[in-house]
Amino acid sequence: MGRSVHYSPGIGDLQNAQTLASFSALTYVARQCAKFDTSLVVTNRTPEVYPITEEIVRQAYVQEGKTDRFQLDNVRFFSSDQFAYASACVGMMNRERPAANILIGPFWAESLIIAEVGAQIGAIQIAGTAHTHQIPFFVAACDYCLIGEEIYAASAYLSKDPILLGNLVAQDWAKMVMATLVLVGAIIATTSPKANWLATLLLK
Amino acid sequence: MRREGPVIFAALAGLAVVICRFFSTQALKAVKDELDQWYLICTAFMVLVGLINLTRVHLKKVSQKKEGWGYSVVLLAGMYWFVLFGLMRGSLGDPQYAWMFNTFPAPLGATMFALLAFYIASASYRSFRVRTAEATVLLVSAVLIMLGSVPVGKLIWSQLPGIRDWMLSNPNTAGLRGIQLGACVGGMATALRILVGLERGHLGGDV
Repeated sequence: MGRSVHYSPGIGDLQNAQTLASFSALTYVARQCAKFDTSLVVTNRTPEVYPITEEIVRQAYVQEGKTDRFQLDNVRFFSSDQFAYASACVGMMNRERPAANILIGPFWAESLIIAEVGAQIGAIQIAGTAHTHQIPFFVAACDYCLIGEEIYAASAYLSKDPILLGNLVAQDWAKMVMATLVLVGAIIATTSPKANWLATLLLK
Repeated sequence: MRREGPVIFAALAGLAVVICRFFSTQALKAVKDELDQWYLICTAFMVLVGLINLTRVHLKKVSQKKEGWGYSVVLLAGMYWFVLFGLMRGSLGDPQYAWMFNTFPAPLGATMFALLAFYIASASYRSFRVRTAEATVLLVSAVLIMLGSVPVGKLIWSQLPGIRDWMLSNPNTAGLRGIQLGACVGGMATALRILVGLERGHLGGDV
């Protein structure tokens, strides 16, 4: 009891859609933390992301009517260097031992370093990224994992806003259309007179 | 208006960049270049904001003699030493600055990266414990991939490298591409939601 929640929006900049998707999850997490008087530590690697996360957390406390509980020092900028940021996260987690570790956004090689330290200190871990090469690390080290597009759907899922949920349905339809096109393309490529794989196979 | 203003500005700026991507005229290019310049200026300014945050957090830690305050002293001294040295001598091309960078931050970064190998080992150990059917599939495929990747694998069974290649280029690639396809559609949907102002998380809350 009394331990904090650590949230990282990843190490991407504002031109990365994953970072923007992460802000929505942070809004929800910050409001929950404000509601239950839980300390929330947000760590940042990108300078331009830092003031936005600070404002998101501040607004969450304002919206919950607990402006006085907002601690400016809990939203931290560590370093713009990838591994210096990872190192600072590891240090902070070992010292402050957060009870929950939430990593949602663009992550690269530092993903496993942060997630594994979270596992070692016994924090419950929720992670998500759309970077396919980091997803296995999160799956291996975390308790719950948002895979790929799920991080983009998180804001609609959390807000329960009918317009955003409708957007998700449209997204699913777009995916089905694309999958159908891929399937049709594969069939055409396979059965086309120009495709000679069958002849090659039979001649073997 | 406090909310609508930034939403309208973000939508206009976003639309301008999207249009510039598809229609390359001189006027549109000038708009995009101007927006890019403003983004760079804002980013550079935010480094200063980050510097202030780091200083505030660590000065507080030092003044209150919190646990590990000595590290904060090292951090502040190192950070300001690099800033002052860079301002006095110029960071790019100065051999002494380059020496400092190559001697301190570069090896420290490399050390953190190297630690990844040990973290992979401990994460793999946890994942490969056979508890469920999925974990068993993971273990079997991991063993096949690992054995297929090392020379001894070929000595054990000559087909192992071929199995490894097939697993990487067929089920693995198919899965990765499926995730990438979904992520691309999700990214586009998010961009669209931001452009039309449906998603306002980046404006400081209000999902």
